[in-house]
Amino acid sequence: MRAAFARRSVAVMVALLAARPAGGQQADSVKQVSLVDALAVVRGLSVEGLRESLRKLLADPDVLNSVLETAVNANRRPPLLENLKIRFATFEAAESDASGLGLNYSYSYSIKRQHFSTGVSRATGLDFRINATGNVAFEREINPRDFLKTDLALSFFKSNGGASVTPPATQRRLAELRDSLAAIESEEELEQSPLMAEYLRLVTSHLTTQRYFDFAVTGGLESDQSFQQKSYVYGGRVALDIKAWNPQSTLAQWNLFDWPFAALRRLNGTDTTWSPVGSTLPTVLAGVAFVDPQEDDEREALGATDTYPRFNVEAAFRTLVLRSPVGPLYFQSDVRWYQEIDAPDAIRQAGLDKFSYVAFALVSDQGPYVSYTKGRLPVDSRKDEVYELGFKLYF
Amino acid sequence: MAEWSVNNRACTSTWMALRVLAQHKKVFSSTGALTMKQLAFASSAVSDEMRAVQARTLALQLNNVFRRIDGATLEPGVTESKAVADMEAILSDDDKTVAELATVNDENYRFFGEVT
Repeated sequence: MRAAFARRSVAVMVALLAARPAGGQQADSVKQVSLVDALAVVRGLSVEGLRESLRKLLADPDVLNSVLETAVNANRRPPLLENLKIRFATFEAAESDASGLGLNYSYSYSIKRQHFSTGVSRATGLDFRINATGNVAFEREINPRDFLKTDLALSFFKSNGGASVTPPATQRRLAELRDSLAAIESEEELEQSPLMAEYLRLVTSHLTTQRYFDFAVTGGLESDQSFQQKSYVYGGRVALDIKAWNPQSTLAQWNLFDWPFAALRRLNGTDTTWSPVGSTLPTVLAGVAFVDPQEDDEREALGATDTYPRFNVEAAFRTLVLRSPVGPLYFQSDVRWYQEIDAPDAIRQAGLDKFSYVAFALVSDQGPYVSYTKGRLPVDSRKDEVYELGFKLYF
Repeated sequence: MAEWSVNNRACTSTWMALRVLAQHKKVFSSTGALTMKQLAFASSAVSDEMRAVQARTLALQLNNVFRRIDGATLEPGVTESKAVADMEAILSDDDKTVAELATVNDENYRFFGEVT
């Protein structure tokens, strides 16, 4: 309701906040005060009370986000801005009790993309894109993570496998089955429907293993929001993602990472048979980056402020543990390792040449229930969603 | 809000493709409101680069399912690159819904039995 009031009164609010008696603007002020008086009478508030209420609304990130969402969704955005996300938030200073309004943003736009289909379920492509993320506080001193990152990335990707072609008669039958299955409202009825069994039998035999590989080079700028401190970073990475989409395939059945969870799903009744999932095979990234440690206080204290090369590896895994009436429960993990190449002695002795980070969590639609984190990330790789160290319950 | 209708083949195809690829186990009517972060592939603990790779892998596979298994074709003037890129953008955004994914698919693909 507060948000609805704010949306309808945006123009009024701007006028009200500007309604200060000022030299040369007396005529306009008189008109605005009259409008304020009218609103105050209607809502039973004093003029100052109304003004104070409106100030609070404009300082409420939830209200601003609601207004922004309405304004943005009212008109279709141009393609250049479709992937721009802006969220207002309350920032709390890391070293004081001060807080204030700010926003965080993220943006990704493919400047040029070329995609080649070289065969059935084969794709090769090039992608050149710009990425930008950052946090901007309206009062810079409050910003706990005064960090903006913008980069250009050129990647080459190749994907083989995933599906084989079905004959037209099968395609027609699948369309008929989808229409019938979409009308079923009960999950249990859908799961046990002979039509679903037929659908899965027809589709599964045409699902194959997908092998995805990509190589990317990146170059970008990292800075604080005033751009007084900035550094250039560049590097390259490779990624490998293999997905055994056919649950009956050998690779799916031998997905050792999912065996413990397949056992749990069998025990808790989520699965009626032993069913490791091939689509949960871990995804792996590895790369080398040249890091400018201008924001790294620890390295600065050791006098190691030169740009340095660093190798890193990341592996991610996520699988279903339990499906219940209140929703699914997933296990997710992320493992990262960073190793500086040819680090100076001072850095090695201080243990700053390598970082390892492991995070495990049980999560649902509402967020994490329990997490375990060990290790830490380098300064330039931390983000807000990193779980707190050690075991933590979220009840 | 994006339309989610049992009469729209883009919606039913998107729903079933995600289900077959083990991303959810919902009935059709309750799938449209699912957000990308509620799908099985979306981990909140990974780096942005990792999430981008996972979104692209799934987008490419959805294209495989639509075109090789379901028999969908691309709408006139739409390239496979655009269709995959549009899905990738949706899958990379935690707050986007399956209904919105179906909307871009409706714009890019002509599903089996659709005339226009």
